[in-house]
Amino acid sequence: MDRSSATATQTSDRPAAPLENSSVKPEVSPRSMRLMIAGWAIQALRYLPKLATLVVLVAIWQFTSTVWLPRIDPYRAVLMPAPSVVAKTAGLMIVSGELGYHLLASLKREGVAFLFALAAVPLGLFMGWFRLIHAQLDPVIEVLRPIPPLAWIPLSILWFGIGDEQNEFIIFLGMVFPILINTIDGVRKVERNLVRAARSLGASEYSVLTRVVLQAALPQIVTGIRIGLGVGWMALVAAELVGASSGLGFLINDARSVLRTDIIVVGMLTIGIVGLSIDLALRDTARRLLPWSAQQSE
Amino acid sequence: MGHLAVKSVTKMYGNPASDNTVVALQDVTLEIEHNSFCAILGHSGCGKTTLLNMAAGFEQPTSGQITIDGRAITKPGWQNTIIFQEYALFPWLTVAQNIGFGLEMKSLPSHKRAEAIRLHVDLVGLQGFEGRFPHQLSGGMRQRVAIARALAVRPEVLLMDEPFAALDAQNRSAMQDELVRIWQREPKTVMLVTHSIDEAIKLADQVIVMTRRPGRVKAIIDISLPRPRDEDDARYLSLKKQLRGLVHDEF
Repeated sequence: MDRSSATATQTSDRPAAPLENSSVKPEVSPRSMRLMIAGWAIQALRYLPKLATLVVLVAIWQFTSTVWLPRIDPYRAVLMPAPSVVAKTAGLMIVSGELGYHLLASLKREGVAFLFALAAVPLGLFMGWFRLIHAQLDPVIEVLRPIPPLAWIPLSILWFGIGDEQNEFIIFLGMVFPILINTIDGVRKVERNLVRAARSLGASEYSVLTRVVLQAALPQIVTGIRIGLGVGWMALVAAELVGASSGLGFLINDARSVLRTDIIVVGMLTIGIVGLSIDLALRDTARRLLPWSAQQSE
Repeated sequence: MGHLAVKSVTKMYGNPASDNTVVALQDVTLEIEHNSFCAILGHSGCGKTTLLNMAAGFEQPTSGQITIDGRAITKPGWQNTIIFQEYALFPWLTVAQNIGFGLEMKSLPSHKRAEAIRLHVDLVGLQGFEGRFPHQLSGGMRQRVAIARALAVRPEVLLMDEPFAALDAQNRSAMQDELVRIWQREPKTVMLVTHSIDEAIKLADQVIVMTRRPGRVKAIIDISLPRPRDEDDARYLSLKKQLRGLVHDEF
């Protein structure tokens, strides 16, 4: 209901939208322009208390890098690029396409690995539902799961060489276990009466599995996917540090060899922001697709 | 048709070879005529839910047999569908989709399904709520959905496990009246399990009083009062007294 009313307000707001292009509309007076800008300023001010600490920290950083460090040791100032320098470098890297190139390479690896890791959903469904399958596969998984994805790097380089496959393999390992474990757990926690109700309404065992068990476990599967994408994103950077010639991990490691700390920081921030965006996008999608699930409303 | 017969059913839990077996039901025999409403009345632990689970096909009797029109119940299905106390609605489906679930399982073509959904939405008075999700409904409305969902598959026997126990007193009473109205409009063979004497008298043609564990049939009381039943009617009150005596004996 909330959702539909929200869209309704958006549509009814639409006639007001041309106001934003007021410079091309002569009928909009400068006065209303000023009012609008004031409105935006008030909006921004409302966020200020939330961001106060962040703003102060950035200011201290700027001061340290441009005033304080150069005074005591100019060499050390290189190690701590100022936010203004980082912003400028980021702008240049965006314009030149360099940042986009490396970001795309990383996202492609994350995406390919994710497609493979999605196999954990049906596997987890079977493991959670059929005792026999669980009994057989659980020992294998329990042994493999505690091995950090990074520990697979040496072997994977020998298997796949340096390049996309090796990177994707490491990311896959980071993703697959959270998705699998959460799927199994979600399936096992499905309310027994839901399954009974379905059977009692004439559902076949196949329908029970696909129409009820999978659906009921979906919120937790999504949680597993969120964790998996996060772990995968971390594993990705690590994998690229050692075994790639493109990608954000490669970018920051390559910049280290030429002492471009500003590029390193740009790369690090990109990794953080993109990781956050992936999680937010997924959370938002989940909330829209699973409005019935309270689990998503954290 | 829907003639439900329970023939000398005994249900034991645990390993029969060892001493720690629990006899939940012992030699229970009863019959529910086609389109008649039967209430099983007893304390918790009298095995009434066990009886219902066997009628629903979730469990098998240790000995004896439960049949619908002579056919033994071997597995759950729409013929003997059940309504749970906690509704057990699919939270990811809307009201209409919940009601349509069993019809979809029966592979009813979609235009017939839509028609049946509309019919049952009307029957339980949920017009306007078809697109809502269960979490957006009150307890009483959820139970209406559960009733509509169960009736939509046209079961031969409808089983109900304390369907109104989770509701508050006012809602419970309203839903009992509602169930009487629905049942009169669409008669069904019903077996309802309850621990409420009033619920049994208000709803049933036949009340079966169970003993404490092991559960046995203690008495079968026929009720022929016209519906809707007046709680202040002298015959209602004398029935209540009689049933209370039977049930309280079991303490």
